[in-house]
Amino acid sequence: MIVVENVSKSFKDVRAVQEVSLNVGGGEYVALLGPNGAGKTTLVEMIEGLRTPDSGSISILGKTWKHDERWLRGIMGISLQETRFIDKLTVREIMDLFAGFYGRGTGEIPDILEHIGLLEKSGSYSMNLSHGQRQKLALGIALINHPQLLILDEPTTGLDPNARRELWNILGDLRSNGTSLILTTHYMEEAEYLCERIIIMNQGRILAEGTLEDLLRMHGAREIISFALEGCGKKSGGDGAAGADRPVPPGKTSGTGAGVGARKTALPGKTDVNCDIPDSVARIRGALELVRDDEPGSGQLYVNDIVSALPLFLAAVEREGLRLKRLECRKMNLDDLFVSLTGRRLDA
Amino acid sequence: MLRNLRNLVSIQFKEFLREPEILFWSLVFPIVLSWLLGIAIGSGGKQMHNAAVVVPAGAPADSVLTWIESMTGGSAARIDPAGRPGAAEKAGDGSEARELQRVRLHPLSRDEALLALKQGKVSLLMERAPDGALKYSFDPRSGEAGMTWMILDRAMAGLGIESENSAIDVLKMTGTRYIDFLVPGLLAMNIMNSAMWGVGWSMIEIRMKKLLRRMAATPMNKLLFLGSHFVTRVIINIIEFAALYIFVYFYFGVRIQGSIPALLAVFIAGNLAFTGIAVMISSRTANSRVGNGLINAVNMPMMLVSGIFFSYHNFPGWAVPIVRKLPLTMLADSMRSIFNEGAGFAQVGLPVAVLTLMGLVLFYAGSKLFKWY
Repeated sequence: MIVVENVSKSFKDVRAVQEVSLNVGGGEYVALLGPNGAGKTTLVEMIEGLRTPDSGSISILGKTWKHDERWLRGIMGISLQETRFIDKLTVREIMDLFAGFYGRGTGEIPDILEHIGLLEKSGSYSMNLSHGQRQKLALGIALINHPQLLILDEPTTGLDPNARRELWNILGDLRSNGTSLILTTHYMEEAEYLCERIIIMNQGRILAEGTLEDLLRMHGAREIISFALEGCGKKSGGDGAAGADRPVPPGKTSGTGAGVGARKTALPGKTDVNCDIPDSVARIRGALELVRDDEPGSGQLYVNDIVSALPLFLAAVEREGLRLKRLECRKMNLDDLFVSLTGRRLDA
Repeated sequence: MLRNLRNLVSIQFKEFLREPEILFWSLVFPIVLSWLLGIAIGSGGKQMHNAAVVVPAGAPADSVLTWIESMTGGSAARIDPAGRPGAAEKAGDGSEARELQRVRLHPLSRDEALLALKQGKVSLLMERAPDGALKYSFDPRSGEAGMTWMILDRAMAGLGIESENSAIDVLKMTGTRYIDFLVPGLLAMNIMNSAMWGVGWSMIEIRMKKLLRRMAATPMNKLLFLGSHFVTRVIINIIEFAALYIFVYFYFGVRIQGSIPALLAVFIAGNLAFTGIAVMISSRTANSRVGNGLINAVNMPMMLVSGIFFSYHNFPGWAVPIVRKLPLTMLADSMRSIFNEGAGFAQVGLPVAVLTLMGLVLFYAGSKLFKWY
């Protein structure tokens, strides 16, 4: 449905998008995942025809913005990252206005409002809506024309978990209509929940794309031993693998239980000199990578096969005379993958 | 706390200094405006006033000069018979003459004087009554006419003609009062302000809110969107026009003496011209302060010089032809001629054509430059 080929866009001295190519099929739900400044919004605005690429090409169902703008606008529903409506227009009046732009009648607006949970607010001024309700209104407007392609730019940013979940449910329901969705987000769980394909962007480039399973399979370890140790005051030796050690800005993790910050150490090799996790624990057979948290003695050990690695890990801890404060075994998730690809947490 | 205050002031000051457009509108524009107005109103700060000296029917214009000469003790040479300001301003060196100099005296027949009064070319009629006394005819509600009378009265007193020998005739005839002069100007100014703020500012505001971008991301017809602002303004301005006219009709007895269809044509042309200007100036702006400056830059000079509240005929002779070419002047003059002089299409055809053309050209150019995204 959408073919993006080698698209680039710069603003003054900032290269927002750099030679990005991607395809989106009909009925496909795709998430563009990346931190602020990754180039997600610039990329979708070029797909939406709101910005012109410096180079490269974009076609949607074989049409281009240069020649078929009006037609493309008719099949597309969008929600911008930020839109403020006219303060003293009611929800219903705003919906009517936009329905008119698409040449749609107003008869089905109550159904749309009901679907997005705004029917009771039909008569409310937009200025009196909460942030979540305004986001729903933006989504309602995007749905007015029953779009073949829906592009939502961070539709749930700033929403509380309940409101976010409600929007997810609405978007999930649209699958049955065959609508394609491009969603930008910096919420891992949103991308995981809604989209079958995830595109990870950072610094204007696509770092990886595929289904969650594909991404996890293609990019590193699949299982993680997350732990916190007590009694490991002894510094480990060695000259360190400075090139492999990338600091990660502290920040809240997104449902991984991985702590507030992380430093990554490639294995096998020497751990860094400041490590307070003994080498014998970090280098058990089958271990691929150790990501340390800011909290001393805690981290995540990436392994290929947790069933064989866990006994070795526990034995090493016992051998070193350490105690486990916390132990969690889990499969690698998108958050872990993002750290693995970029060396930084998504929401850091 | 002091540090915070200093930081807060500092960032606001930097924000101000780092926005060249704001800097221009805040610092340079007021200076330019004061300079323009200074030289327009000019003559070293002296404002000129205009009065008609009525030439009695059948009498030659020279007889009026002779009469004034007799009153002023031979200083009539200081008065330009053709009403040319230059000649009057050059003359005179005594204190009486200086007082007189601030008033240009135009020898005119009574009908010509009344027309000049309706057009705002003069604010007062001065004539010699059969008993030999001076008679001033003007609307005392006009500040300009009152000022002209005061200057003349003082000048005459200085020349030995005391107020006891003069009389004031309050003009009550429709079209000659200050309110008759004022109302068409207010209606014209209303059209301008309504378009500039209602269209120009509104566009800038919805662009700032990103709503314009959101609308443009639909199949909305963009020309229709811009055109809708013109239609809205016409409807709102008709309502505002009607409200003001109904009030002045009943309260002041203001009447439209000319052609209603011609007035409608002037009204539409005025709306088109100012909507065009508004679309043009809002075509690229996404900053409220810059938008504010731009709109004021267009509105303020015209409000001040286009003869809305006082006649632009008081300006130096060289400035008048320039002022008459301003769209607000064209609109106000056309409306005034229909209201007070009974004008029709023949009299307002040219300004209607110019305003329409101006509106269409600016509307088209603005739509091409318009920043939608």
